[in-house]
Amino acid sequence: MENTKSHSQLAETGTLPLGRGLLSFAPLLVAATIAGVILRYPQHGAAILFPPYAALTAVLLVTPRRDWIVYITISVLGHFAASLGPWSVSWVGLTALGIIARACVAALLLQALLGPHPRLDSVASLVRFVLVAAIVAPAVGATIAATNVVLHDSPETYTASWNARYVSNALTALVMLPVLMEVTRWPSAWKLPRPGRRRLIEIALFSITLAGSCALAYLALANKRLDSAIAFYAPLPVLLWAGLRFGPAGAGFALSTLSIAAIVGTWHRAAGAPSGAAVLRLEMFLFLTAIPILCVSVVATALRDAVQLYRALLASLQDQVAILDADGTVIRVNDSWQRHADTPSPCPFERARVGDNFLLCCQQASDILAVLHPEDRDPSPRRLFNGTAAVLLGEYQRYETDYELKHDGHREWFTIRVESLERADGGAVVTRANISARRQAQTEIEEQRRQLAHLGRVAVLGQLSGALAHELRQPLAAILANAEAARHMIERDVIDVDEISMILGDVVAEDRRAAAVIDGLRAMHRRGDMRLEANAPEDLVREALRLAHTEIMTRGVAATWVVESDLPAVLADRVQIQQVLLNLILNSCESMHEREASERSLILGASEAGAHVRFSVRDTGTGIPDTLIESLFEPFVTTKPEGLGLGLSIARTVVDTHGGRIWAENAEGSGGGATISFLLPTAPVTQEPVRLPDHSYDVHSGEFKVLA
Amino acid sequence: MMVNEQTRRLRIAIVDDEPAVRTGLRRLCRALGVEATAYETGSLFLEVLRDGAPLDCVLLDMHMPEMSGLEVQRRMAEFTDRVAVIAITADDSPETSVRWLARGALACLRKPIGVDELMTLFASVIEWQTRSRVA
Repeated sequence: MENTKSHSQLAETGTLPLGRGLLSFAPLLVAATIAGVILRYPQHGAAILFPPYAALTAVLLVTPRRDWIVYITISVLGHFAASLGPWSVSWVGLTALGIIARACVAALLLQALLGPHPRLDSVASLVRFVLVAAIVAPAVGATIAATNVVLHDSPETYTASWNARYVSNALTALVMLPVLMEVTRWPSAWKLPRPGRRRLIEIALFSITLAGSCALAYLALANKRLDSAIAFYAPLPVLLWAGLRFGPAGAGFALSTLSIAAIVGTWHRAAGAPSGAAVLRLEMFLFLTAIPILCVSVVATALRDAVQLYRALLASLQDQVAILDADGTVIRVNDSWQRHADTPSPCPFERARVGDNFLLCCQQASDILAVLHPEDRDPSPRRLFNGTAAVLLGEYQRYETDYELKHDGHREWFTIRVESLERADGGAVVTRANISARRQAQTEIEEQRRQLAHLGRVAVLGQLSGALAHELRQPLAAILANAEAARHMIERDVIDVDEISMILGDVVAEDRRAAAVIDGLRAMHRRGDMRLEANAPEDLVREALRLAHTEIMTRGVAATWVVESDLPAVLADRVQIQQVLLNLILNSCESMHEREASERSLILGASEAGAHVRFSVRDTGTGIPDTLIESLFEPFVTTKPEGLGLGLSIARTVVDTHGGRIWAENAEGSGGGATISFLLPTAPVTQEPVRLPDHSYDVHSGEFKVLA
Repeated sequence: MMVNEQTRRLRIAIVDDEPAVRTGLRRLCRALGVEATAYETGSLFLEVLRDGAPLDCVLLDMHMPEMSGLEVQRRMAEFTDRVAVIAITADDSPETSVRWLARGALACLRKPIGVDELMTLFASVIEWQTRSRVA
């Protein structure tokens, strides 16, 4: 139930129900209106701070627009109730219009520039906030208010009145709006921050200091014997504290309370009638303090958020992360790395802690391994050392290697990645992840693929069994006939040594031929791994045709091959590709079963296709039904009544694993038939394995050297 | 293995494109005391037969590239019925032997072929000759 509730609350964020909104905001709006009247110096037309503006703007920012009319009405009613005594209805009405216009302009523009839920979380957002809330909206309000003054024949001039209202509203926006924006968010907030014990202590100390500063500012201003300048210097420490530690809301709160203390102090010093110069001095102080303090608070908040985010991110990563400086010294690790480093016996480079040199740890591990396993010429720590050094030197952007760890009889696989840090001071991030599960899954997939391929070979063998029997019976026939002939000659004492020697020679040769047939059979039957080698396309085509020779002949098919001259070699597993070609040839032969003997023709081709070689098998058979041409290579799709539908699916698996592609098309025109083609990548000219250059690291000078 | 006089008088031709099989069978026949000649292709054999070579029996391979065994048999039938046709094959499928027997082959032998098979074969050739002479 708890969860359901929070989830529905989460969904409701930003759509505060009117009831809850009224309960929270009606008192706020009324209180602000009253404060607006209290904070006014009677002989000045405008208040130094005008809370109704800030309160209404803050409320509009967090409520749905369809409810705005309600909150605006409350604010206006409050204004009438508080002001109607001393002023005329038209005066109060126009003032109310000014309040509405200012608040609506500020709320609409803030939402347009900072999104539906504006927050002061960056310098850019602060600049936009100042532009809207402290420049544009106050100007609109000031214009309406100054017009009001002129219309009611007040002694003030239009300009003086405009200036006074403008300054008052701008100050209100800077001093009060940030804190009110934070407070008004609470009723609709999904989750309020819960301060810890240390934070609570800090809040308490801060409150005491703030109260002290307020008292000092008030006294310095109210007591004529004290220098009023004290009131302007004394609050700076607490304001900085607020800005650095409590964000724009805290800074706004400190500014508000200090402002009120200063306003009241100034009022008392002048016995209710402060001079224009005193008011100007107060306004200048508030202006010049508010903007820098808000800047500090925004920057500090953004920085703290970024640091918290990055720490939380590091801590939440399951992978082990260590950050290295340009020399390879570990400057930070995440919890996962630390936990692993604390376990009893990981290898030295996994034990690296903050302050250790990662390269040195790799070197130690490498030295230990060199003693334990001298036969391993390129152990993982050595590779890791070279890779890390290369990244730190800027030779590589990223280095990645996998290694295996045998621990108490079970094996685990890890991948470790070193990535260069994009910052002026250089350095690198080392990420280490346990990939045993992934590896296991990969091995299983590989095994399934092998089993499937094996099944395919068995299926092809079934198709070929007739041909194989034929291939074996020929040498067996020759051997038997020769051997019996020799035995008969011996039995009859007609021993012609030359003849017998020739007979034995033939027996031996034919025996070898039979063995070669069986070897070929074994090669196809074997459940081997892929062995990629450079193969001449012509060899592959010829060999496949040779293997299928009997089948082609028995079925009365005219087979030809067309291989472009100077074709590059392809990178392929010979046996697997033969299996694919053989399968395609046998399918083609079968598909031409219903054709007249003179129309059964099969063409094997190989031609260049960019970085690939295209192999194709074309026949004049019945073609592929249009409904199957897309799904032909999926398992269990077949055009043959007794077919399993595995041959082509295996062919695709094989071609895919080679990095190629296989497809089918029907021939156009009257001849009919189909062509199945596949691409194989060409083999690189040289096949030297890529190796990183060796690096040496001098621990004392901290320098890398690249060994030639 | 005793070879009687009747068998010894048999004249055999062997037609097979596989040189090793051809030579082996010829040697075996000769070791058994039977006169045997070997031909690489059907057309060579047909030429010799047309020229009137005296033959009792031909061991005819079914699968040959230039002219298949069936074709050789068909052409033989056009001008002689005195030579017994024995089909030999390395093929496993029973259908082909049925097809051959239906076309009048005396027997259909699956490779490898040893002394026992040949002796049985010779006996049946002699029997066949006797029968056709009586008829």
